[in-house]
Amino acid sequence: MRRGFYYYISIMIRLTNVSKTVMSGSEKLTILHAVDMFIPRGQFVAVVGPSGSGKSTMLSLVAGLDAPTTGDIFLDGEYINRLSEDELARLRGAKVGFIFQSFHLIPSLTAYENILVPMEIMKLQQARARAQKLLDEIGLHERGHHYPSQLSGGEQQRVAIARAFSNDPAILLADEPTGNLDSKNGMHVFELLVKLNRERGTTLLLVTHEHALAEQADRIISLNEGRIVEDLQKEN
Amino acid sequence: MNFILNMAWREMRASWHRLLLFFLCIAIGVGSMVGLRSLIQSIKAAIKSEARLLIAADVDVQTESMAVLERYFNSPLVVDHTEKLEFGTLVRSAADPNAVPRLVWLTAVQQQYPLYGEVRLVDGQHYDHSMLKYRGVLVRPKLLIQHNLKVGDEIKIGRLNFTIRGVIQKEPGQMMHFRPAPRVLVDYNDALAAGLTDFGSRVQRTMLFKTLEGQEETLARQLRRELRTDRSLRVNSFRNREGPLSEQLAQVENYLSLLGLVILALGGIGISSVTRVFIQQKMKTIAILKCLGGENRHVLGAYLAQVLALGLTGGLLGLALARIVTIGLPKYLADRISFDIEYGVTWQAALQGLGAGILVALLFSLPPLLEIRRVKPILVLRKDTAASGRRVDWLRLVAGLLILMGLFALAAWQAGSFKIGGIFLGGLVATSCMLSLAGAALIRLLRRVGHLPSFVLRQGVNSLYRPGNQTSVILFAVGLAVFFVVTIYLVQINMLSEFNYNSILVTHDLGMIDIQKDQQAEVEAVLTRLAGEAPTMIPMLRLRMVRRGRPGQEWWVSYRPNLEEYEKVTAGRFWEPTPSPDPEISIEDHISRDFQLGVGDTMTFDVLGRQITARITSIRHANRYVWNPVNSIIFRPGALEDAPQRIAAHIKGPVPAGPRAQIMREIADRFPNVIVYDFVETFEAARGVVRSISIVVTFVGGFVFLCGVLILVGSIAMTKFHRLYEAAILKTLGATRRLIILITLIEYGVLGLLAGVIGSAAAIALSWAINKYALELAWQPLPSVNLIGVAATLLLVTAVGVLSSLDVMMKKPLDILRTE
Ligand SMILES: Nc1ncnc2c1ncn2[C@@H]1O[C@H](COP(=O)(O)OP(=O)(O)OP(=O)(O)O)[C@@H](O)[C@H]1O
Ligand SMILES: [Mg+2]
Repeated sequence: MRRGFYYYISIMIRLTNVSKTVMSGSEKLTILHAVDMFIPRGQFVAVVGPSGSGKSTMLSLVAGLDAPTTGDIFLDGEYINRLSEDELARLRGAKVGFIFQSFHLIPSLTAYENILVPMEIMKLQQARARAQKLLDEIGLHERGHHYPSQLSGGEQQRVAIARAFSNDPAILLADEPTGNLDSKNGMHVFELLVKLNRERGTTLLLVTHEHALAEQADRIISLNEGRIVEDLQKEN
Repeated sequence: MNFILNMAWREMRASWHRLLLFFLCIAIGVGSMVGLRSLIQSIKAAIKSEARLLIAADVDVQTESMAVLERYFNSPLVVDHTEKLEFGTLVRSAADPNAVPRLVWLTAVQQQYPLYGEVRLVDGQHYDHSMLKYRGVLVRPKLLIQHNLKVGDEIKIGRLNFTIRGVIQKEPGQMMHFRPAPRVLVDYNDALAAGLTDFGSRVQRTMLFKTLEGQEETLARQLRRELRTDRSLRVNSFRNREGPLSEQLAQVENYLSLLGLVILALGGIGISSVTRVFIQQKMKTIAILKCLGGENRHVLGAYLAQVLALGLTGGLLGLALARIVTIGLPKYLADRISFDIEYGVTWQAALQGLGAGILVALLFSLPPLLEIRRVKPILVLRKDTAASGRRVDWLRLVAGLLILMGLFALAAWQAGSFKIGGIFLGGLVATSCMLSLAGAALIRLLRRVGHLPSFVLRQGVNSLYRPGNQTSVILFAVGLAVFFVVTIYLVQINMLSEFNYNSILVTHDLGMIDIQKDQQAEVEAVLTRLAGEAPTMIPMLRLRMVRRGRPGQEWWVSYRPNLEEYEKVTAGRFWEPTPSPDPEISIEDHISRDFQLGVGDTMTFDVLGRQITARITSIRHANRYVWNPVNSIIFRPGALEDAPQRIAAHIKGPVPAGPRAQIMREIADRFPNVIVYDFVETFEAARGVVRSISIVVTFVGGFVFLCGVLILVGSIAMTKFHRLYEAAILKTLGATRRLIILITLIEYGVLGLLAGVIGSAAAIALSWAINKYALELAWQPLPSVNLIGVAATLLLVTAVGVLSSLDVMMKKPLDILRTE
């Protein structure tokens, strides 16, 4: 029982019976089937699976970007499906960093400002300095004043990552962050993520197609057709 | 707060080229609201002072109990007062005791007269009351000619001699007064001294009041209440006065208020649709902000700040434009209209206009801005995730209610009447609902349309209902704009047809009363000979009305077989020219209104002790500029021919002064009992005012139309951004420009047609309601205006749609794909 208690309070993400059904035309289509999952604080989890298996869907549910059809989602001490849109937004601003598969930078803001935005929303101190530092870290020191449409895919990807880091989130959800990068840059980004996970104890959910990367995670969850088909916990 | 402002600023800076169009649309919207509003207000003020000149006071009173009025001299409502006496009397040259005395209409005034306007003398002499002191008199030019006199000569009025001190060219308070004789002006005390009180009851005493601004109706009401037992009481305020000219001035004032409202509504609609399109473009950014932890109030705040900033700059631009217009305007209008307009835009008017403009901008942009709250962060991943949850959104309901209330307050304030405000808002809401329903129905219908044969057709129709379509925005903006513009035109045409100032000239400007029955044939012969056409002879009978068995008011009535060309039947049917066994009457619409009588009701009159009960078979509306002393109640021939009666006559007199004077002389010599009225001067003056009004009305109406079109162009042009992405992809896939233009043509053609039809159909209803309830005018349908409205809308919408998309066609697709 003692162990159970500690185990319980250190849970960062818990999904119970979470499913997602969408209407495609007039038909119901279930894209996530009754997923159950615990992720303890500080764990580095790789999510793998074929295209269309529901990886992005699961991640966006965890971030509260969408509501599940059934089930409960528990995020760092709170059941988020009971939260209003604004409460969800505040939660994301405070705790969650999200890196989208297709970046989703704000086209009307410069790279620098895109990184600045989450910190401004959270009213963090020294936001500007930190944004500048993050810009340096991703190697785009000279490009801060450029708009997303003036950046290459990989550069946009790096800005998106810096943005996700900027509010120093407890949970980082990364949807194929290295998909658009060459192996050198990809490696660099990956190391950034892992470093954050190690040094700050950030819980990291990383969707990737690259086996080499997934291998380095504490745990690998495999999805197929909306179901968890394998959950490999590494013993260390 | 900081974040909101930062965000607003950055967005404005980054997409300024896109915002430019947005800005332009908002600026045109707010600018035309602010600018036109102040223009309309100047004109309204001018018309108000013109209306004041009709009685040269705010309120005038005629009563038997003048003593009561003295209590009002110290009323807080009253700023100034003066009394005048008026009566017909005989005048002759003092130098020649044998000269023939002639009738004049004498007005005796005090120091304060006139309370408004000025007495204008020929030769640019300045009028001052001291000119009348010690038996001075001011006369009309006609009198000098009649009596062969000049300034400085003496004339005998009553027992006293008066010296002619000057010649009046124009004086306030006289327009559309039908008086048979030239007017002369003397001092009040002299008139009393001259023993003119001998005339007793024939002296007409009028007290003129000047009130605090806007209090004229209050004073008039108080007086009417206090003096209600006086049966001869007459209380007029300058706003509420009998007589065609003041009625029309009142109508024009109402119409201008309406124009002010319409311009606010048009501006608001433009702003609303432009904002909606703008927010639609920003959906993705909003969703991203929400993913990053942005709360609704942050995001809403950022966009609200943008709309406000744009509204403010737009408003300032509008003020500048209004200033430019009002610099250029006086030259144009001054040559064409007879009264003066203050053109300056005062600080107060500017601030008020700016306030109203921004308030409207806020109210109308609120609904699209509130959409922000419904944007789900998941939109980032799935572009067209349907807005989930059909839950009642209380905030939106409250906001909607708030907007309606704000609009109503604004409308009532702008129109100065809850009635007009209500009618207007009712029309706005009803048409909005209709347009929304039509939009939904169209989308639904198109979805059902099966496989269309051509790709172009399919694609054009597709884009009307696919997710993210602009159908409702365009339908809404265009439909409402058409609705208002067509309404304004229908009202304007109906109103101007009432003015129809030509009729003042073409109909009879020479009138006679008191012709005896046995003189009728002779008078008719003389007039026919001298004027070259037969006069209209009008029998006049003084009959006492009997109400509920008791004798009531006396009325002048007449009888005739036919309807005159200056009147039309508004209810019932006018009789055949044959005599009828049962008495029938036709009444004018104002009698119908005042006594609440309709077709089928009866009126009873006492004719020489015999009671005649007549059924009302028709109600007529007559052009009020035609002088007809007995037109209110007329009988069908057959009932009154044998009763004692006198005859009136009117005719279009010859234009040259010579032949005209000959007619008057001959009638006066041969029939001394007949009184002749010459209306040429009166009509000339009235015609000037009326023509000025129609010019002003047409002019401002044209401006509103122009702004309506501009606003419309703006809201359509804004929708082009929607097609950027799609056009780019189509191009990558090999579509030619021609193809894309064709698709656009079809898309906008369908929308323009539908919006035009709904808008102009609804305009029929609103213009009818406004005519009937707000302006109290007869209304006639004008299908041609509606048809033109539909055709013009179709053309305009397609043209703007295609033209605004031209740059999309020219751009390289890659530019667009990268930014999307
Ligand atoms: N709103 C929706 N409407 C219809 N289908 C949807 C919707 N959202 C997701 N899907 C479907 O659900 C499935 C899972 O989508 P998801 O984006 O989670 O896949 P994924 O595992 O991230 O794939 P990839 O590796 O290609 O990114 C897909 O087949 C997708 O088409
Ligand atoms: Mg995915």
